[in-house]
Amino acid sequence: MNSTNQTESKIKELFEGVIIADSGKKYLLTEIDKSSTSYYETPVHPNQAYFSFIDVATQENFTGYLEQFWKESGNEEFAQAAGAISSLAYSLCVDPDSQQEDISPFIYAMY
Amino acid sequence: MNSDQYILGISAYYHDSAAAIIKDGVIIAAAQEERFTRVKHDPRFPVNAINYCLEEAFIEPGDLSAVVFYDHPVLTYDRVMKNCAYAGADSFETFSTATKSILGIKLWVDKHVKQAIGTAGQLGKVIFAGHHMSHAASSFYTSPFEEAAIVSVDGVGEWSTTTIAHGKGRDIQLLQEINYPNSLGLLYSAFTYYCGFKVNSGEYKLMGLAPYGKPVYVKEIYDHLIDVKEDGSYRLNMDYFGFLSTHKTTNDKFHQLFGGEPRQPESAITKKEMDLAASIQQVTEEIFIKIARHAKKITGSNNLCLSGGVALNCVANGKLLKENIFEHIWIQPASGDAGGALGACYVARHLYYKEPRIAPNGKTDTQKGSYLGPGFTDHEIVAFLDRNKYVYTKYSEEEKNELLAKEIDKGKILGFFAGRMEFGPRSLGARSIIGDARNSTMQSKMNLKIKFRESFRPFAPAVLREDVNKYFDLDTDSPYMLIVAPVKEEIRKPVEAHADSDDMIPVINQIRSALPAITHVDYSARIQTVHQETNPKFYNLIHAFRKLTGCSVLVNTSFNVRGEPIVCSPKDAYLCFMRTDIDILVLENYVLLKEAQPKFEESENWQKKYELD
Ligand SMILES: [Fe+2]
Repeated sequence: MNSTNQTESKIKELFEGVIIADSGKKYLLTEIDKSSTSYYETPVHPNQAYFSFIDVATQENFTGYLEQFWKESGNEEFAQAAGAISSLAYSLCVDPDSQQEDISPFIYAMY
Repeated sequence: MNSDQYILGISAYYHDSAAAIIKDGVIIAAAQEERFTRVKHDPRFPVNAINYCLEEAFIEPGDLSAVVFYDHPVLTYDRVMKNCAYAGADSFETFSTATKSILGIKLWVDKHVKQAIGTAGQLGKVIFAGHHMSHAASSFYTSPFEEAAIVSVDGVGEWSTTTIAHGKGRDIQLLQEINYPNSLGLLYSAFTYYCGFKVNSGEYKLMGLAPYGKPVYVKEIYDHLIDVKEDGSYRLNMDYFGFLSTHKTTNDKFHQLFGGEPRQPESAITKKEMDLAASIQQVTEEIFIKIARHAKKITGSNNLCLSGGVALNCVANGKLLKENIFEHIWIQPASGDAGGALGACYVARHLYYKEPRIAPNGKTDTQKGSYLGPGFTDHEIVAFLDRNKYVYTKYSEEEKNELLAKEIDKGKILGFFAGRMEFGPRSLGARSIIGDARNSTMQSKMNLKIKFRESFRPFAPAVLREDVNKYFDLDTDSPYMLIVAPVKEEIRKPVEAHADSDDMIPVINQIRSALPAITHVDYSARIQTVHQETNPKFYNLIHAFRKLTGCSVLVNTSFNVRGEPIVCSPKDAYLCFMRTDIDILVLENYVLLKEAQPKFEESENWQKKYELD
């Protein structure tokens, strides 16, 4: 298997092993509640909302960073996948000039 | 040893990459990458803008105290993971694309910065400022206020789509937020897409189209698409949107609600699009005003700072101003993501380094008119003109303005290039196309022969600050063209009522006021007040025009053709001049007449290069 295929299968693995396994969780607030008076939330990520550092110095450091990030926000399942995600990030890391395919002008670039 | 504190801010990888630099809290430079690469809304790492900022500050990369990025990629990835977990198996394509883009590119800002300039500053690593905190900082720290409510509304940044904060002295406290997928910006973009315009640039067209229509779909929008509370908080009904699991903002249910498939780009605009535009504009304004009222309530402030892409909706800003909820409002002119670069600098200075803020004077902002981009010396301009054997005449400032005033009065159109380029999406008289606002054919001539764009699109007036109240129902500063106000009753002209139809042309061609080129169909105008202090060159030109004609208003539109980034250099300006029906090019005090120029040979297929926006 070449490295592109390997990366593709790692993404698929992550999707099936973590994302889909976790589906059904109410991660997004989409319920329309006519009886409530407000949908405002207090800041959900106060540790990152102002400023912070991301430790990508080594793959291990980044694993640790992700683990802590998801433990702090109560996402144990994602914290357990920190090693796989960190490894994926290191294999995906590309030059900024070889950027992702062109962003379609008809969609809002969200990621 | 250099004890000055230089901070470089970067925004990149979404729609509008940019860089900004501040020195001891004072803005030195800021520019969008698109102006250098000539690729509209260029999302790539802004290496040209960064180098320009360093040059303008006259420093080496090693002199930087810190480099700050305006967005947190791990927080964004967290949102993508949870979005896909929520959406299920259908979202694999979204997950795969987002994973490659975030883990493959956005995460590695530190590395990209070091590759580009050899260092991440004296701190040795990049600071990640929150996306909405960067928006909030870009408006509060440049505002005239010591204390203010801060509202930022955009499509989405990390998780947040709407935030309310309170700024006081050097601090900003985030108070409340609305998170993805609930987004006023995405709702507006859904209509932009459905009406056949490009997202992130077409919103401005939709806003311009709104006054041609009637808000007949408002009830549908409130009944089906969004639930809004009295305090302005809201949720979208995701049954009608496709963006959780596909690349499309809307879905079939949305299309059915409004009677069919989205309009094909560049096909004829019909009454339906006009009515949809009017409807989403009204809903946006109503929500925006409710959010502002709530921000006032929870902060108790008399001042409001606005930012985020939705704050570029100057019609909504004008309505908000009229509500008198706040005594003073300041809007960051680079309210889109480009402005995040500037905000990120301030996040580092005031929140990370805890440096005190330079005391605001309560009256003027510190954005310097937003003239924060490259400027060119006489020496550079002459070298460019001589090298290419272009024909020009040099005038004194006064002679030049007298001559130009006469030419504008005769109906001539100028490409006006003066001083440092604007930061943000609007041309404010540094890189502008200028014409006579009194001229009844100016709007269609400028749209069709200069800009090559849709004929319905209105133009903005630039007016001397002291005269704004003579022509418009506005008596406040609007130096950044971010406020829409009505043309005064006294200069309006009665028009025949036109039956509702798909044909906009008879409506567009009506003469609505003594300033027909800048009077929109609903008698509104998107006003730029011109101030001697921030742009004396542009001020003096309008002043000379007033002396000659008694009129202190000119048409001001961005110096570009449709799909092209605003011109940056004399070369960009010359090319735009020769490719269009612009009559006279003004490069500082050097004046070039079209008919005197050597035969122009096109070296590239620019119509293809500048895709329609
Ligand atoms: Fe944003």
